[in-house]
Amino acid sequence: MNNKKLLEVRRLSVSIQLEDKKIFAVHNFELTLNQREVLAIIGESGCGKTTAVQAITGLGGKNTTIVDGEIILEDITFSPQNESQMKKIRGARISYIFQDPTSYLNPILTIGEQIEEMILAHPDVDEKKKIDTLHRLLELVELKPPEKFLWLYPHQLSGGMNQRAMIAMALASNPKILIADEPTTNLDYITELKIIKLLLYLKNKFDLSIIFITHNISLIEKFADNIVVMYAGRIVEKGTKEEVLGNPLHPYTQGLLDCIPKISHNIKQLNTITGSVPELSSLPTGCKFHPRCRYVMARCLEEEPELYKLSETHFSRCYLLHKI
Amino acid sequence: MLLVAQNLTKEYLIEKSIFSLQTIKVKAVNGINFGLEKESVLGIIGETGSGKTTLAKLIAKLITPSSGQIKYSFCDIRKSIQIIFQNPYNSLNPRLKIKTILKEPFIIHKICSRSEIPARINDLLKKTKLNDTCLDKYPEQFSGGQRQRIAIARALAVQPQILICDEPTSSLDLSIQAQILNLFVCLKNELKLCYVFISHNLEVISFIADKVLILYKGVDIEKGTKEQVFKNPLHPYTKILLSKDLILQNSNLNQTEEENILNGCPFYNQCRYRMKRCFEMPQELQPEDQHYVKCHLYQR
Repeated sequence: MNNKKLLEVRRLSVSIQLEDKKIFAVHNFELTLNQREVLAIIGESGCGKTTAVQAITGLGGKNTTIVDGEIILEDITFSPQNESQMKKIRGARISYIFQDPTSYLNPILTIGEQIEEMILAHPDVDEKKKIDTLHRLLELVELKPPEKFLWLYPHQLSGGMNQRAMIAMALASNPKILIADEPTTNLDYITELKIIKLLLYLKNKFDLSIIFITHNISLIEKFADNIVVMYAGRIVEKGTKEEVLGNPLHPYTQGLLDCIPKISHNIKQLNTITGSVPELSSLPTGCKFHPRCRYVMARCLEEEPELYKLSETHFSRCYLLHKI
Repeated sequence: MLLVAQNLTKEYLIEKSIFSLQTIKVKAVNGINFGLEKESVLGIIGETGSGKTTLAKLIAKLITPSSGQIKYSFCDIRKSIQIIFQNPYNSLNPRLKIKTILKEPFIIHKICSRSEIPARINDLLKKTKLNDTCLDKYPEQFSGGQRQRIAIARALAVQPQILICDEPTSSLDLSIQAQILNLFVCLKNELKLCYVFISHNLEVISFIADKVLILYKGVDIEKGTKEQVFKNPLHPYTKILLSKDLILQNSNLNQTEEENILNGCPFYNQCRYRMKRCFEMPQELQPEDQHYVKCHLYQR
């Protein structure tokens, strides 16, 4: 396995301007991504997963401001505040697959036209070979025969096929990194498996790295290498799949894993995390998880813990891990 | 048995295109048999379009079957069967206060005198572990999990025997899902309820159900007790659902290869064991006690 570092994100903080107040959706987000790595970001809704990765691609909306941070892609440092710099990497180096393909595809253009648009948007693709590229892309995502699928409109395809078309569009610019934001949430189980299998196939074929956002933990068990757990805009734990799922050290990760019923276990009651995810506009003091934590101590209320290093790859943000 | 469904079928006519007079018959639910025992939980697993919701509507008698029948052991179906919907954002009227939402079933079904209603509502809130400060609020002021609690409270008002839960936790976050699932288990034990629990999430079904029915394109391809289905899946589709690996069994699962077989096995196009015989709809076979499967592989 090639372990060349491809992407590094440092100190990324993002704020969102609401009608009357400003909230900090992402705070000090850090991430490294190696070549051919599948990195999964998990957490409940409202934890800032999407905001964080959209900030990496500069796709945040009008109200989003990137307060701080830098992005190092293939040893070149970018500042995410600089829109013209971001334009160079967005699409060309990093492609984005959205959750709901039917609402991101243009309903009045055919699949072929939409992929063509993506091919032409990036000058490093030879224009003469446009049709060839188009056919090759459709074949890659298994929309065969391509001659037929070129002329179809999104409404004529099923959800899974639309997602394949989205993946073809994402691949059109020959990216290094694919960000998949819950790409299979609206799909059926078998379709979901097929899409995941396709992503893995493409990863191996083109040496892609994939950032995969999801809250489906059983899916992560199947194909992620590393996992980042987010809570209230912060990374609370990160590590390899084995470390995070096998030996979760943050109470939130433990709680989240406990919440999922296991098919092999026969239990009468599930362990739950009491309460719900806090509103980003009214975050608690100290450790953001303390109101829901079963191990809460006086210190947790006052000061936010740092990410404690537990091994070369495993980090967790909890005072329980503080060595005296 | 609370109810028994025999050869339940629901057909819909679908126009081929806007202007054509031709119509196609689609069997949303196709020859389903099952029984529902008292104080048990029947888990129904199926994908989108597999007819889960049609089946739920048939059970609640909101639609009438095209053929087949359901025999109920009670008379007042409206009162004995209640439904909890997937999306608590749509199932609660945004213009009504929680107080009014919870009052309605008592008035509609003439359950008790008006003076008794507040006490009954308080009782419902206690059961669903809601705070009584919520009564003067509107649905929009609550989170998804709490709205689902309100929907459950409303369903319990008429003291139903059967609660049909149509994907009640699929729009909720993991930690909230666990809280609501625990509430369902508590209520079942406390009120001796029977659930028809519909979900596409295998883990959720394995937690809550006693019996499992697997639905694929309107056909009940496999059913049995939870242990039988999850430990010893028989149908190729169930096997794929439960396998831990990513590797799909049939490597050339190509959409364009699909053959349209009208009356055959619904899983034909995806199945790696497909054979000529599969052009006929398989009979329901019973390889072990209480465990049924519709697949030619188990034909002796």
